Amino acid sequence: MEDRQDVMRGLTAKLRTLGWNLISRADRFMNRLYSSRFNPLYHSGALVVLLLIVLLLTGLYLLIFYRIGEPHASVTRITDQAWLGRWIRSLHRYGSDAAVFAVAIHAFRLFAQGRSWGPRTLAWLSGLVLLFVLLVSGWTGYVMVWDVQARLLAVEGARWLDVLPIFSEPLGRAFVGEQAIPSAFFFLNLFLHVALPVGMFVILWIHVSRIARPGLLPPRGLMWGTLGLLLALSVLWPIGMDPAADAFRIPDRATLDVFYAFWLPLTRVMPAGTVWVFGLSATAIALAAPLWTRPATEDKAKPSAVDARLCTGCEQCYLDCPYEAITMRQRTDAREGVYAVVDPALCVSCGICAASCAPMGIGPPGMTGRDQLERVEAFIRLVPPDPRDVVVVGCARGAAGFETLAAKDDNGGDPAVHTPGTVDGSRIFQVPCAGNVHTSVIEYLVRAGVGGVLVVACHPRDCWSREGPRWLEERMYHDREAELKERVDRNRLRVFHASAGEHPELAGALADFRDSVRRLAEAEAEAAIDLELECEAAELQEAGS
Amino acid sequence: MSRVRVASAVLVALLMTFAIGALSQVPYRAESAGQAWIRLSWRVSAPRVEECRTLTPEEIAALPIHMRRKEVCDSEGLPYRLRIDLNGEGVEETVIRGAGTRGDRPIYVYRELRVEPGRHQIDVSLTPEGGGEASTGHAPTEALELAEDVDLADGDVALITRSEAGKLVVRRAEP
Repeated sequence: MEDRQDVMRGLTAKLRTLGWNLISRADRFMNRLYSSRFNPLYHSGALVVLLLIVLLLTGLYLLIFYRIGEPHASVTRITDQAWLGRWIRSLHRYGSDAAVFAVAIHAFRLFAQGRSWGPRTLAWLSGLVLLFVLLVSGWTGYVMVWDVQARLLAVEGARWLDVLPIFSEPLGRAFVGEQAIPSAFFFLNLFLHVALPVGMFVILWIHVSRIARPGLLPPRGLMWGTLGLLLALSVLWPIGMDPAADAFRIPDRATLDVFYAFWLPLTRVMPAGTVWVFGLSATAIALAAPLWTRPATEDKAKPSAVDARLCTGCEQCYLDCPYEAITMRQRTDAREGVYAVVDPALCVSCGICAASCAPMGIGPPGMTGRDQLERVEAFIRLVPPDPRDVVVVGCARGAAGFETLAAKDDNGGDPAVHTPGTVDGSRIFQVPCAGNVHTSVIEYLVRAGVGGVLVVACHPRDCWSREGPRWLEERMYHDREAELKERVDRNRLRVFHASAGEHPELAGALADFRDSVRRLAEAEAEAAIDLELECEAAELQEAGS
Repeated sequence: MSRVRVASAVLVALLMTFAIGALSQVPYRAESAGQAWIRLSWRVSAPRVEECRTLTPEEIAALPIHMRRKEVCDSEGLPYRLRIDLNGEGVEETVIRGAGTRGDRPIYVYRELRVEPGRHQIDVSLTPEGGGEASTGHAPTEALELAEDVDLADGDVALITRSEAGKLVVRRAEP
């Protein structure tokens, strides 16, 4: 049994690594083109929400002109409206296609990042439901047009349902031309096409219910860029009309929307029972992902714990937690006020709370501020500080992470055993997330005599813990609790954002910062020269000679 | 940002947009050319075959008071035999029973024959099993029969169904 679990975990790990390598390369490529702020791969979820809004607005317009009594004719009339109807219909169609594309990227990304289990299970499952509802809603939308493709989809759907022992007569008979298709069929389609998207917004609310401050819309530049491109596509390449569905003609030629009907060429040649077996198996595998993607119990990070004696009730961890896993409760001991309580079912063990706590009273075991200080002390003992070099404090999942460097670096290993790896000659002090770095660690490094500290975080919209880079920046430069003390020389600090695939960019930033640190060291050495003493020494030397 | 990078960014955005447009309307040939279909689709409300039995006084006494009756009956729809011949060759001969778990729903026929375009002789019959009268005790049930030559062009679909008068007819696309 354990062997089988190990094999499953091995397979999952290989699959994830493959996906992660693919994503890392794609991220780097898109970051170079659009910058991390406008990288559409980082905003796939928000783009879906934007596109759903576009579908809602364009759908309202189409609804005004659609007639269930003459579906094909009414859609043809809409398409014939050269100035508005044609491109609104096209925008509705292209927007729905882009939404499926964005959902696929979003789901694949989270799977490859291992963000599909534990407290994230609800988001994963509700996301799958959203995808299912989106596909079914699209199906009803295509059937509403009642052209050749619509008939193919309707007949195929009826063929699947007819193998279920719940209908006394085959549904497929409705489409053979024995009788005119009742308006009730098109009314049902229309109802579902309107009701399902409304339901989607409810599921979307569930989808983001466990995260604080969800980013529901992409940045403006990306938003207007996406809308502009889809609008241009709609105007320049509007969707045409296939011939009306005809039960007395073999549906030989049609246009196929790959995003919604990619399965049609496959399923049409399969027996309906086989389609069910494949469909249900794929669904079961996807739904069970939280089970088969979760790490072994011993590899799982433990949820945060609070040391109530140290908690001052400042609420900073409660404010910073990206997953709303922390609540403040009234104290029951002799002290007055509130203290933080972590819900282990919601905590993803990102450790962001550890960095927001000045007295270091909260965090996952091994990741609290105190644990970090112990580690950094050991680090300094192992790596004597060099005032002309830089220590890289790197997020495990970013460009300076062991997960990405292990293959390249012989010293790469488990950071818990204090075996620092290197990136271009500089030692790495690794943390699970840049948002987990307690500012005391940075201060400790600088005061120990390290030339500079380069904190390598993921890009703000690509953080596995959602808000790590944001809070890191705030704590270092904008006095957010637990802030980096003013006494720490900011010239010796730098934050750099780099995703797992951006090693060349990291190397460039590191070289640049190292130069800057060396110039600082030289300047300090020059400033330390006592000119009077130097002159006296020179005079004495001259007199002696 | 260099000009090359801006141009590349624009180009990639345009390519992705074009890909969405292209994948949204891929030409698809659902069926190969050079074929025609003959569909058979109709339903028949089959008479019910009922078998009744008088309960013994002991059986009646064993029933709850509000469910006591003298006679119990089991019924199901009369089975029919479907026979399809195409160009003189038997394609199918099956006994069809009423749909539903108790077999008391109407009988339906739903078949699709794929043929080459051209002229085809089709013979279809749906006859009650056991002659009807003997088993039901009602008036004999009429058989449905059709024997017709059908001309089918490439891509045509002919539908054999029941007319309003209840006879089997061939329906074609309206010219």
